[in-house]
Amino acid sequence: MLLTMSKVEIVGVKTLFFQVLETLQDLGTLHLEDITRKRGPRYADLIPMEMDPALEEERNLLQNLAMRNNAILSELAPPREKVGHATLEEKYRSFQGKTLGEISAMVEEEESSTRELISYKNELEVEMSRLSKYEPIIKKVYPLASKVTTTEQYTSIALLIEERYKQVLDYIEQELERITGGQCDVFSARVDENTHAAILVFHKRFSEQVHNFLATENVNQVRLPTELADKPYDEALKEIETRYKEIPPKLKKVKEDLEEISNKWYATLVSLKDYLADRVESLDAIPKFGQSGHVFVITGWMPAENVVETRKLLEEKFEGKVEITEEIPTHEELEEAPTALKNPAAVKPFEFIYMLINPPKYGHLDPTFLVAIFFPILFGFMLGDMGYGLVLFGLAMLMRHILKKRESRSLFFELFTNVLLICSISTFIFGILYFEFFGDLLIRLFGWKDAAGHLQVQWVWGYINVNGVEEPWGWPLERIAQANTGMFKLLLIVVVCIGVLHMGAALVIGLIDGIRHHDRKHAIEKAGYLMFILGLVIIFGSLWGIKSAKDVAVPLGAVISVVGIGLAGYGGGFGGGLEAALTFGNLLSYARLYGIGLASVILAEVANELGAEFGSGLMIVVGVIVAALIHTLNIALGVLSPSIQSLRLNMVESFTKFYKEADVVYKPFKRSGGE
Amino acid sequence: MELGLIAIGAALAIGLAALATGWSQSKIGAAMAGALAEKPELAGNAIIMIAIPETMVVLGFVISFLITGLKPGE
Repeated sequence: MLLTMSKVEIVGVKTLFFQVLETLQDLGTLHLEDITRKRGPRYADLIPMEMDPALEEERNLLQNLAMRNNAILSELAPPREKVGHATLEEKYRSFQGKTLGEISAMVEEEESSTRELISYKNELEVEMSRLSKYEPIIKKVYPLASKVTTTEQYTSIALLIEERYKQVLDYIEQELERITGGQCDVFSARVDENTHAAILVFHKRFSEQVHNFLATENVNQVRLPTELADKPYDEALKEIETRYKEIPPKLKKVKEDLEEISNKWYATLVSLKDYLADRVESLDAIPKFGQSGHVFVITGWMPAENVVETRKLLEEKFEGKVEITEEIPTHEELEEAPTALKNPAAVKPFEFIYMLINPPKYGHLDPTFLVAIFFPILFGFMLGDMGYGLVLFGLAMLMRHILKKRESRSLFFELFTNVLLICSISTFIFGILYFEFFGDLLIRLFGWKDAAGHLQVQWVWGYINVNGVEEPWGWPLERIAQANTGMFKLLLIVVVCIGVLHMGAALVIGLIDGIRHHDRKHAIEKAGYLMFILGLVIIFGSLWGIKSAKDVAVPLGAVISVVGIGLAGYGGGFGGGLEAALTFGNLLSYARLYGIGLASVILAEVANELGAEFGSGLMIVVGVIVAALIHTLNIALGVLSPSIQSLRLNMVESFTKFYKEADVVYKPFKRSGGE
Repeated sequence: MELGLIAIGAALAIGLAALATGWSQSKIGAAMAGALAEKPELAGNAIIMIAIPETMVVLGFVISFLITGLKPGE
């Protein structure tokens, strides 16, 4: 359901403005309106509030502090012992009494105690990553380099060349002899399967020309860290190894020190992050407010149930100097009222649908309860399998456990997990109805199939006439039923009935909405659709069910349907009449419930059939694995396809009949920590 | 002969419906991918839009299944 909202105006003495703003942010119930967009005599004398230079400066300082604080926070790991909400709240409150200067000093203190450690830690990590890159290269070159001796006048360059390009070494040697006039030597050897190492030794005075040549020819040299560039390879390698061993203990010590700081500062830093973000947000809201000589004016919407409490608090805290009044909104203002949802716990998960579209417009009915009823039914009808239901239930419980453990605040995953949990239960219940457990596993076990492979009804609930033959129907319901069987007819009737109920409920909501908003044409249009469906129900009910009433029911149903199309045309114009006639197609569209279910159960039976083909003995294990793999695929498809189809039926077949999206969604001005 | 025609009928029912669904989904998918690049908030609508032509293949599958249930001479 949608919360009833009250349009409120808060007026107070200007000197109390910032305290009131802080109080409202603490309460977190007021959806702010931009007073500068208001027109009319009520607002004519109000001057919009502006961010003066002092406030701009304060905002910049707050942002700067937030940036510095966040930089420190990002370098600290959360303490092992979880910081409780009460501690964070206490710290947050402590900032409310502090001046900006005091907060600034605190951030500086945090920085001074962490800056050096953080920078040292970063240096060590960079060094470690750098050395780890050099080590394997040097190790490749070293065996060759140890055989080469150079004098002070000679220098050397090491090259690593891929095995397939080793002939390039001959070319390099020729060019080197040409550049140095023969004052050079080239040593090469294969160092592993894919690499050739080469050391070029030449007189130092040709150094520039040789480097230029190698650069022009795009030959990669082994470059040592600058500080080791002049050292022989064996010394360089030893030094690299020594330094590489020294870093981990140093890094460990720094991390321990940072952990100690984190234990001491983390709660403060997190609270300060939230506090600074909230302060910036409250300053950003200032241009939305109005003022006159001595008072400020804040307008907005809040849930009607919160007005009394807010009034009481403002009166107590500001001793009558701040007043909140409830306004009677005009028709135009009501159009801009924000939508806030409040649904019971069992229905709430289905609010996920509003991640795809905006919530309903304020003043209209909230269809979440409709989704909560039909989504699991449509999903379960399609997937229906006790085994799959249990797997999905386990998966949903596991996800809940993981989310709880990780303290996830993702609304998407929370809603998805809860919807999956509810749908797993409906899948299990429909599975009982079809007596399917990983397809026909149980049916095979009990031997309930006849020679033609059809499921035998164990518990007869009634008979259906098929081509003059009375066929029994009951439990279990066979989904793989052929066109000429009673069970097929029954399932088709069931899906159309689900469609009638689903679309009928949507149309009733549309009708009620039309009556509530005195929109006569809208109400007549929806009534027309309903009459058309009612006519169809009467016609097909007499053809398939009460055949004795056929002579009266068919013409009666036809008249009601035609009148329905006429009414829809009157209410919604040509489009309305056409839409009413197309409703028949919408109803048939529910046959997808049968189609998707059929695909799912056939795939499950294919899995079992293939598994059984592997015979006996050890091959049973292979058979089980094959069957399990196909069942896993079927479950994955079984979650995806029924979800999308259920969504589609809800949003295309149902919502289009009545739904109006909200233009404004309720976003209270509250402490959000910048999120 | 009749059995062969039944099989061809069933194959046409699912095959043509699948081709039609694939063709329309490719068109809608490409258009929605373009739209999503500009407006990522349309992701929900994109899923629904892409799912709409699936009706054809689902119904094609049901018809195909029903055809395979026919016996020659019926």
